Amino acid sequence: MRHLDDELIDLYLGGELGEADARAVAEHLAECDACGRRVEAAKDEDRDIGELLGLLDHPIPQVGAADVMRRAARRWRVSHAVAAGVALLVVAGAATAVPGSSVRTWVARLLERPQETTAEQGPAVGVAGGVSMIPTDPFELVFETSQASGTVLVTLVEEAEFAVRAIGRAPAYSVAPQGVRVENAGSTADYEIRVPRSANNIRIRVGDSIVFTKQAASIVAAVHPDAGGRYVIEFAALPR
Amino acid sequence: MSQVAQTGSRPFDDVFREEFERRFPPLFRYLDRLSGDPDLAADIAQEAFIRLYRRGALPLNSGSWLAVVARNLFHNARSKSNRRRRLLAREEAKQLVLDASPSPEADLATARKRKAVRSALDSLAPRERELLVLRYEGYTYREIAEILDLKPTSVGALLVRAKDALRRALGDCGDATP
Repeated sequence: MRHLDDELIDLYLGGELGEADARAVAEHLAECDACGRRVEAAKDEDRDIGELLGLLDHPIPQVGAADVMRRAARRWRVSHAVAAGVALLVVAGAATAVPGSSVRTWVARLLERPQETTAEQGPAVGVAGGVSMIPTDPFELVFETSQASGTVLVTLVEEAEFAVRAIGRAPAYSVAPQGVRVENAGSTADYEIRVPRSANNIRIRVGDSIVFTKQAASIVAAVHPDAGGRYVIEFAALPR
Repeated sequence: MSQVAQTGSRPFDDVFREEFERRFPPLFRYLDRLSGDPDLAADIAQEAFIRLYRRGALPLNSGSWLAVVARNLFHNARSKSNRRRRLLAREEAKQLVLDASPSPEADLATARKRKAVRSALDSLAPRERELLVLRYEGYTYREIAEILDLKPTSVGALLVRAKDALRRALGDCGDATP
């Protein structure tokens, strides 16, 4: 074996090598004092850098999982209350129906600004927005592009309306007679999609990748459903 | 292609609590070291966990998933406000007070060293800084690649370069010599 370079030493010390490679390195070290000294020096340096970075640490905040779960649940309640209000308005007016479309449509921007995220106090996050409608046959939801991060959570529901809602910064939605387009370029939001069990022909596409189809009772998706019957699709796992 | 971790029949709340206990401290430290702003780090780390909880299922690698979400939130927050700059100014002001206080010699030396490490880290290219902070927080090469959107095979070489850069930067700050 040749002498170890810095990268191989780092991989070795970090436990990143496979069994065979790690054994080969160990055997080489047993015979080569020069590499042994370099590995010892690298260990010392790692310890020193670790200690120096540790100087920057502040105490871990005393926050528990229960606090986070409560805050998440509070946001659900707020957003559902706002959604219910929007639904009432739509039922009353149906004024925002798309011209030429028979579907009842509404677009709701639900500005749900959590208390802790003012511009002065922290990141502007937690904005939600969504679209809900009776799906046509066929009906297609298109994300114009994939995202570096974010999740699409697809749930089958008993209601008759198809809904898509962003958790994170709300993208723009274009509503067409037979579908919705999510203009999500640059977004990192998560999305909740509610697909009516009664819908006959639904397709969800991310760029050119079809990630979910429902034809009558037959469902084909990019992922298996979880224990709750939901389909959790990670943008990062989709082909770019 | 499935990206959902199998959690068996356990209630998600229990799974989430365990994940929180295990992953909140390293996520907070990553953000804290990256930003130098513990309040911002705490806000963002909690927000990332809120999103995990609302997701209702664990991703395959929740460590890197949380870090990706938190990192995006951090970059959004930093680009949207001058908060960090103001906080750094406040930190520097605190540091001056600390330096001027009649603390024991060891405290002063530590405070100077801390300031020098912060300066050295901030002087690195953003990717080098993140590589180092993630690596020394215990993230694996594969997780680092996922978080920073790098090829896994390039992480080692980039880390070596980042360490070199840090060594040079620390060399410019005599107070940070270990």
